[in-house]
Amino acid sequence: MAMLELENVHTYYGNIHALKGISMKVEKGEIVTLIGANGAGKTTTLRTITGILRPREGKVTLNGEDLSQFKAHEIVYKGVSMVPEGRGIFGRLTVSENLDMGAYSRKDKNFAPDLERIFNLFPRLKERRSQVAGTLSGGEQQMLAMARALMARPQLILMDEPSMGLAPVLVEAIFDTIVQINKEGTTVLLVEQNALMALSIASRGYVLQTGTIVLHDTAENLKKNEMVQKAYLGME
Amino acid sequence: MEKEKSFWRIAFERGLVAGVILLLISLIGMLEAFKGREIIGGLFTMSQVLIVGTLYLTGAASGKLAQNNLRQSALGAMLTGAVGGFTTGLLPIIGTLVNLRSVLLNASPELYKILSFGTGPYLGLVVLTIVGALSGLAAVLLNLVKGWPRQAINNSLVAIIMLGLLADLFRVTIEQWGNLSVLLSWMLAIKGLSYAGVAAILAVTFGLSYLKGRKPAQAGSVSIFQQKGPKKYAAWLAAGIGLLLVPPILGVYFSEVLDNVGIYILMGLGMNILLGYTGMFNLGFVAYYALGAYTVGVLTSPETSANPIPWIAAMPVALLVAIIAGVVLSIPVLRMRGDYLGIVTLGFGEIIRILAGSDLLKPWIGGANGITQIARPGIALWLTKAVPGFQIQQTVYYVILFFVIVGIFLSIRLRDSRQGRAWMAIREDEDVAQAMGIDLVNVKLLAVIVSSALGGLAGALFAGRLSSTYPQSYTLMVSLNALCLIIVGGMGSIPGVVAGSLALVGLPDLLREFGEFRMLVYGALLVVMMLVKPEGLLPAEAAKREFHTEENAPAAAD
Repeated sequence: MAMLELENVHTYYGNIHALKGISMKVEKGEIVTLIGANGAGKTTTLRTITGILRPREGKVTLNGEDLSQFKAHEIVYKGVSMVPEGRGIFGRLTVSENLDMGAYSRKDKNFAPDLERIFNLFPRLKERRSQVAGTLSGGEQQMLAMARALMARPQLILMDEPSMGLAPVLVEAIFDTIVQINKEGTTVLLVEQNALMALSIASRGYVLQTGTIVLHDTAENLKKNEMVQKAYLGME
Repeated sequence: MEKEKSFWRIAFERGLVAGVILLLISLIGMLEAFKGREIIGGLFTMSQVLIVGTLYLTGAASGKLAQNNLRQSALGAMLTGAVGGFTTGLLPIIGTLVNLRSVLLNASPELYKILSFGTGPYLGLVVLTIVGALSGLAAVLLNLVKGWPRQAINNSLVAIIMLGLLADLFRVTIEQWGNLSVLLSWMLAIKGLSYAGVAAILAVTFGLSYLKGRKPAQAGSVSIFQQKGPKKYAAWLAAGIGLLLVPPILGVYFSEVLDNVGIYILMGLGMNILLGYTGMFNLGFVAYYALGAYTVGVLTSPETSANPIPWIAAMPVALLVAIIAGVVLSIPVLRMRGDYLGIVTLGFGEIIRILAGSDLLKPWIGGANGITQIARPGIALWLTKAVPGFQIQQTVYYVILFFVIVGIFLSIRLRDSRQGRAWMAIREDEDVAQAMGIDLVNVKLLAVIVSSALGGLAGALFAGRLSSTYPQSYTLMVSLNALCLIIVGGMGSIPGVVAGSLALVGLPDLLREFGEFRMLVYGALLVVMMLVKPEGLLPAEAAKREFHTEENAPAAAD
């Protein structure tokens, strides 16, 4: 049984048919990437998984459990964390307070081991613990958004374009961290426009075009695929 | 050369602005309204303070533009002041040549006399121009004074103006001390402060500033209330005793004003939870207030109830009614954000007010006649009888003080709780808050419940204090007052609510003349606040950060 499974999911914004029957699977321990251009429906897919949007048809299951019976905030308690697009940090709260908010869904209050782990992954955040999050640089904010998602101890973490607006050297650091997080046992669904980077760390990939999945293969094969090379990797 | 030219131009234009401001406050009657308030007996009236103050402040603003060049700065400030004075001084001349009064009701000979400092219109023009220039010069020269003397000058000016304005009340207050009044009566002239009083104020403010200025400035100065150890407890104890002694020492009128302030503090605390913490905009806050007052009225007045119950028994029912109304009215609109929420709640507030005055409900709640003979809080009545000379306004003060402390305590506990953090996360970003596992509906409803309870409590106290309630009391202004006071005090700040209530509710009550110009002063104050101190008088931690990020941010480069 797959950890996360989408079966023929149709999602609408009012009358706009945004997802036109999407099916995909994420197995435990994987990094799976969903690549596609602007407006393809990548963020819509994530919003449907996290319950902010409801599929009009089809279903989303987590470990076999239908997620449509849960409200958006309840899905967090099922072990799904989200790193939102554009980072979505709480700009007026400090780094520490942001991390506390990440642990909002936790019943236990023993955050020390989590903080230690996070500060190992992101030493920069440790230095800036008491700084206001809105004053962090873009890369630091992305780190904070990831760290905040980890505070909930998720089994599955959804990342919406973590490379957006970051310098190439930072993008590499962020992707190294994603691999590290995955190695430590968290399954990752990575939505990206930066297909080259995404495919270099993922095991499998789906290609989304105007609300439909047009390709699905291992990351290796996708990198060799002519259509992917042309449209997303900028090769002729 | 180019730069210098533009500086003179700016200084000139600022002078015109000062002139326009002065003409405006003259022609709306504000200057004349304040002519009776003598600040320093026989020497200086509040009208003159307004004239000189306006010229002084605009002069100071011009002077600051050329800070590194003293000569230019001084001349610029003088130019601004002189232009402002000259523009204003034209009014009496025009007024004597043409009859302005048929159009501008306030353009009276009395006003011209004030504007020309008692001289004639033509001489007045000269006098006003000179006064303006001197005010500008004084502004620049005072700006040269630094450190504690500067602080002392500022403080003493504020203290003299405030005490001078309140001199009448001051006199009434000390008169009720009996023989003890000689302790302070020498500070007062027949009207306003006496010279001796001014000297005493100067001595005290300079002395205090000197002592304070001598100590090396501590990094991140902490108020004594936040320090650890016995000092903190002593400070709180002193503040507590001070608050308890207000009614016997300051007397009936001050107590009444503070009762009003306390009621608005409770409403401000409620509004603060909605808007300051959770980011929910509510313009119908008056609905909770009205429901609280009317519930107490209906249950405790023999006019409306066959078995009137005491205030203390009706008060919890009032809270419950306000909470139920808050929740029921909120359910359909919880999904709305920002302005939309404000507009819908504005409608709710108006509906409640119109229902209260309607003939439809007249048999039960009195319609336009309202409800009278409402029960007062029992303890206040008992205290009034027990302590000779105590009026009901003074004893109700203690009841209100008690509930204000409860309200503040509750607000602090909620702010620092898990719920409080959830509120602030929603304020920052609803979608992300949801992605953290926050149940938007429950958390928002809790904010509505607490704030409507505070609003209902304020209403219950309001009805119990006056012993009557009328539909006219529940206009949109109540909601706007509650909103303005948290903006002026500082959004999301509990001390800010108290400061805002004192400034926006307490001061206008003390200065009767302001009454007419309340909205104008509110508007001007809000604009000035947004420009000068957008985070409020006593801002919350988060707001300080937002408005002063450049000071605490290490360079954010990447």
